[in-house]
Amino acid sequence: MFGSHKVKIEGEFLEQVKQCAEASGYSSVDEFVLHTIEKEVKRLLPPERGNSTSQETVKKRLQGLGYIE
Amino acid sequence: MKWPIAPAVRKPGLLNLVPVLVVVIGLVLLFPVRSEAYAGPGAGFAVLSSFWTLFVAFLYSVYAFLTWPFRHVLRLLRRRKAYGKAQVTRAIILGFDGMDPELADRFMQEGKLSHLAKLRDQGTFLPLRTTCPAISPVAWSTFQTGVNPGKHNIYDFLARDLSSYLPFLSSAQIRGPKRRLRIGEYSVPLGKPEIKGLRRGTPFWHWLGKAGIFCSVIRVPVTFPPEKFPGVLLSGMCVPDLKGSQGTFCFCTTRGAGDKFREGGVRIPIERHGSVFRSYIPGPEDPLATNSGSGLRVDFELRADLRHNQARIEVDSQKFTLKIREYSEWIPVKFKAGLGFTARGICRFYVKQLSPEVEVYVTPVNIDPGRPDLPISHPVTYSIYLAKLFGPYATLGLAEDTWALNEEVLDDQAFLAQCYANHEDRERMLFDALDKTPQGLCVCVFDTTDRVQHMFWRYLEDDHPAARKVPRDQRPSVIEDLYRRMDDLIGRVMDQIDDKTLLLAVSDHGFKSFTRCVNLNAWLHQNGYLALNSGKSESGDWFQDVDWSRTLAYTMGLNGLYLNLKGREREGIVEPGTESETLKNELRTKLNGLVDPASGGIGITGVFDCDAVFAGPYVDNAPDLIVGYGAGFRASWDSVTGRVTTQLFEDNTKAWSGDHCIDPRLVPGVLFCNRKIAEEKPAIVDVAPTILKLFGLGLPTYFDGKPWTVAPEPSK
Amino acid sequence: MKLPMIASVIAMRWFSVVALRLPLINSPVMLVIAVSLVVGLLMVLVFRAVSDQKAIRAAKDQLKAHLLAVRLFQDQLPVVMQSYGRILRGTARYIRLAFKPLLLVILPITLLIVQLDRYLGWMPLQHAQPFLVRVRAVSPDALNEVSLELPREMALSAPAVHLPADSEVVWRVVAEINGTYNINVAAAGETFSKQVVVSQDLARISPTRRRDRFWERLFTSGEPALPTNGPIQSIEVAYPPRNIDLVIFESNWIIVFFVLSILAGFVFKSILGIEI
Repeated sequence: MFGSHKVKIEGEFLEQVKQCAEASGYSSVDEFVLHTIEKEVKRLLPPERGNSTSQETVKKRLQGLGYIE
Repeated sequence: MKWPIAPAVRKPGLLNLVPVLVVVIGLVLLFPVRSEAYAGPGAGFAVLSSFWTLFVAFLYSVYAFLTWPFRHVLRLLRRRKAYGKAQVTRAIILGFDGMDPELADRFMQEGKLSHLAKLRDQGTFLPLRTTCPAISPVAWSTFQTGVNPGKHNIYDFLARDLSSYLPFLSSAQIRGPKRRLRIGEYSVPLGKPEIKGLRRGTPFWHWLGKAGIFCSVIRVPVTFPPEKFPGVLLSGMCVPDLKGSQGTFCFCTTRGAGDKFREGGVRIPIERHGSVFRSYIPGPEDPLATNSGSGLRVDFELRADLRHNQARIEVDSQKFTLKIREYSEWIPVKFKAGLGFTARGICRFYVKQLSPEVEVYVTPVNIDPGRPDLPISHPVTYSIYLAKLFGPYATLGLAEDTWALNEEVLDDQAFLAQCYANHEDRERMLFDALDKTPQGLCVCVFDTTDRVQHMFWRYLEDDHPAARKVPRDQRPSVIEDLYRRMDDLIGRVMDQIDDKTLLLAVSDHGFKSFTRCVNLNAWLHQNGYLALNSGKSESGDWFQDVDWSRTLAYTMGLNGLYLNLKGREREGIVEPGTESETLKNELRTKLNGLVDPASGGIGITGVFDCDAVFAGPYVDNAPDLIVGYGAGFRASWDSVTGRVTTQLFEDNTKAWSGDHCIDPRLVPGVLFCNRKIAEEKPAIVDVAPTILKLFGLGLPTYFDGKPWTVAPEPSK
Repeated sequence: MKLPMIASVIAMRWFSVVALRLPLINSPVMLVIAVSLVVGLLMVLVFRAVSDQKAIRAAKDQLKAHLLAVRLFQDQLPVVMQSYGRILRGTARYIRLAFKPLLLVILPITLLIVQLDRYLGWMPLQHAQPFLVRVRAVSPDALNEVSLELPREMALSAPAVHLPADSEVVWRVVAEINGTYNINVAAAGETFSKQVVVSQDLARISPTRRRDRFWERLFTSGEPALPTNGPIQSIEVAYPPRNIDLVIFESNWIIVFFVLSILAGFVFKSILGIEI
C-alpha cells in the first residue's frame, strides 16, 4: 500500500555507518539505519494525545496472556 | 495420559462387493468392444487425480535436477566457510521452557530421568544463567540473538505506550490496513494488515543460513512474524489467535448469565430449540464493518444423546459425535464477512456436561496452519507442509489454555490432555525436522514444561494456597510425570544421533512456587510515589484513576518499574538526571528486602538498575528498574495490569501456582549437553556464539555472549 | 449384481417414456450435456458414499506434503530423493484407496451408458434411404436356406448378396415411411425377427440381434437372444453412427460424455467438498 523505499549508502560513508552500527551494538547496518530514522521520526512527529489505541482494544489484544489477568 | 479423541467413524461394509466388481470390470476389459470407453469417466477421474500429483512431482524433479549442479556449487562455496572448520556436522537444540535445574537434579538423583542422567554423566549438566528479567520472551530473544535485552528490545511480554500509559505486546504489532474504501454499507480494507516484529537483533540461524548451513527452527518464542532466512521456521510464543488476542477461549452454556471471565475467555449463551441446542463461536472483527465492535461468528448446533453420554455437533458443514469430557479433533471453521471476505481458523470442542445444563468449551480459534491468514512460518509453505503431513495443529503462541483452568472451565485432566496433545504434535514436528536436517541446525522449543509447571506447582507443596481444597493423598504427581515425558523424548532423540552431532537441552529459566502476590503499585501508592485522583483509594485497570501529575513511579507487567519521567512519559514529572537517579536509588533501597508481614518471607530480594544491567541501542525502551521478587512471591495479578489496590500482599489462590518472573538469580535454567563443556557459569546468552563457533563461523562483534569450550567428541 | 442392471433398465424405461417427450432432451447434444452433468454429479456422490473420505484426504495430504518437501528442502539431495520415494509410495496408496470406490462407481455408470448408447450411439434409419441387413449363419451351407421377409412398408432395393467366406448374406432394404418394424429372417423352417427403427427422432436402437453371448449382447444388443442351436448367429441392421456436433468439434458421444462428465465431476466435487 505504502510501498517501500531504498536508500543507497556507499563509499566512506558506508564505512562510517558500519563503524557506528558496530559500536552501538546493532546487529546490522540496516537495523542501525532503521532505528535511527525511527527515533528521528518519533521526535519530529510525536504521537497525538488521544490518538493511541483504546483501553478496550488493549485488553482484547492481551486477552489470554496467561501471566496477566 | 491418553488424549481422548473422538474415534473415527468407519464406513459400513459396502466394499464387500468389491471382489465381484473386480471380476466384472475385468471381464468388461477382456472384451474390447465399442463399450471399452464406458468405464472412462470413473477411471479418468482416478488417473487425472493421481497423474496430476506425479506430473507436479515430475516438474519439480526436472527443476531440481537441472538447477542442482549450480546450487550445489554455490552451496559448496558458501559451506567452505562453515563446515570447513566445523567441529560438528549437526547441532540439535531442544528447548524446554522453564525446565528447572533443581527439580531435574532431584528427579535424576531419584533415578527417574535415565536419559538426562546419561547426558549429565557423559557430558554436561549445569544451571544456565537466565536473563534479567527471567521471562520467556526476554530469555528466548537473548537465546536466539546472543545479546542482552538492551540490544533486542524485549524486556517483558508487555511494553508501554508513553503517550497513554497503556501496554502493548512487546514482540509484534498487527495493524489493519489504514486505507479503506466505502461501498454502501461496507468499508472495504485496501491492502494487507501490517505485521511488525518488534524484536531486534539477528537470530544466529540467519548467520548459519548465510554460510550455507541449513536450519530447521520450530516454535522458538518471539519468532513472529517469521523473518526470511535460508532455512525453515515455524513461529511460536506470541503468535495470536484469529481474534488477534493471545488466546480467547469460548465457553458456551445454558446457564444464566453469570459473572464474565476476568480474563482469557468469553461466555456465550446456548439457546434451546426443541431437542436442538444452538450457540456460536465468536470470531474476529468484521473487516468490512464501518464501526468497530461487530464481530464475525460461526454458529453451531448440538443434539444431546444422554443415553450414550454424547452429543452430535454440527458446525459449518461438519458433523461429529463427541463423548462427554472428550476433545474433538481440530475442526476447521470459516468466519464469513460480506463480499467474499473470510477468515479461516481451527478449534477444538470439548463437551463438559449435557445435563442438567449443557456446557461446551471451545479452544481459542487458532490460525489454520494449512491455510494461514497470517504468516506463521518461513517460508509460508512450511506451516502448510506440516499441516499436510501431520494434520492441523495448534498455532497459537500460548496454545495451552491456562485461563480455562484458572477459571475452572477446564479441570486438571482436560487441561493436561490439551497440553500433551499439543506436545505430541510438536514432537512429530521435531522428529520430522531431524529427518529433514541430516546436516545443519535443528532447534525446537517445547512449551509444555512451562505451562504444566505454572498450573501444577501447587501439588508439589504441602500448603500451597491454590491446592488447599485437594487432600494431600489425592494430589497427582503431574510435574514428575512431565519430567519423565521430557526425559523419554530426549532418549528418543539420543537414539537418532551420531558422534558428530551436538545435542543441547536448554531451558530459558527455572521455576519456583508462587504463593504470595505483591502489589507493587499499592506499595508505591502507600509510600507516596503514586497518587490517585482525589477521593479514590484504589484504581481500575491500567491506571484508570491515577493522578499522573503527582505520580513519581508506577509498574506494569511482571518485573518492570518505571519512573514518570519528564519529556518521556506524557505527563512525566521526574526530571531526568540527578532527580531521577536519586529516586531510583531511593526506590531500590526501600524495596530491596521488603518483608511480607504475614509469612515473614522476603518479598523482594533484588532491585536492578537497568542502566547497569542493560546495554545497547534500545535501552531507552527498558523499564528503569527491574524488580526481583523472592522465592514464593510474584507481582500480583492486579499490579501487572496497572491496578492499584489497598492490599500489598495477598495469597495466590489460582491454579497458576508456580512462576519464574522473580529474581533471576533464583531461577536459572538447565544446560544438558552430550559433550563436556568447560564453563563454570554458562548463560543463555552464550548459546548463539557457541553454536556459530562450533560450525566454524566467526563471531559478530555485537554479541554479548561468549562461546563455551566444548569437547570435540562426546565422552564414552 | 442384478440390482444395478435392473435399476438402469428401469431408469431407461422411464427415460424413454417420460424424458424423451421433453423437447430439450430430444436434442442429442443437450441430452449428452445433461447426462454428463447428471453422471458427473452422481459419480462424485456415489464415490463419497462408498469411499473412506478421511483416508483419501489423508493420503492426498501426505502426497502434497512430500511435494512441498521437495521444494522446501531442495538443497538437501538425500531429503529430496527420499521425498520422491515417498511421493511414489503415496501415489500407490492413493490409487489403492480410490480403486475400490471407483469400481463401485464404474459399474452402474457402465450399465447406464450401455443403455444410453442405444439412443445416442446410432441414428435411426431415414425413410427412402437404403440400408443393409446382414445375417450371419452358423455355416456357409446354411446360407442357401436363408430368406428375408419384410413388412409392407419396406422393400428390397437390390438382390441379396451371399458371402460364403463369412457365412453371411446381405440385403439392401429401403423403408417408405417412419415407424418401428420387425423384419423376419427365415432359415431351416424357423423364423427370426429383428427390430428396425425408421424415425426422425431420438429412439432406442438395437443394431444387432445375436445368440446368447451375454457380454456381447450386453453391449451391442437390446433384443432377446437368438436360439443357441438355431441356424442364425446374428442379424444386424446397419444404422448410421451418430456424431455429436459441439460447434468447435464433432465426435462420438462417448468422447464428449467422457470429457464433460469428468469436468462436471471436478466441479461438483469442489462444490460439495468431496475428496476424490
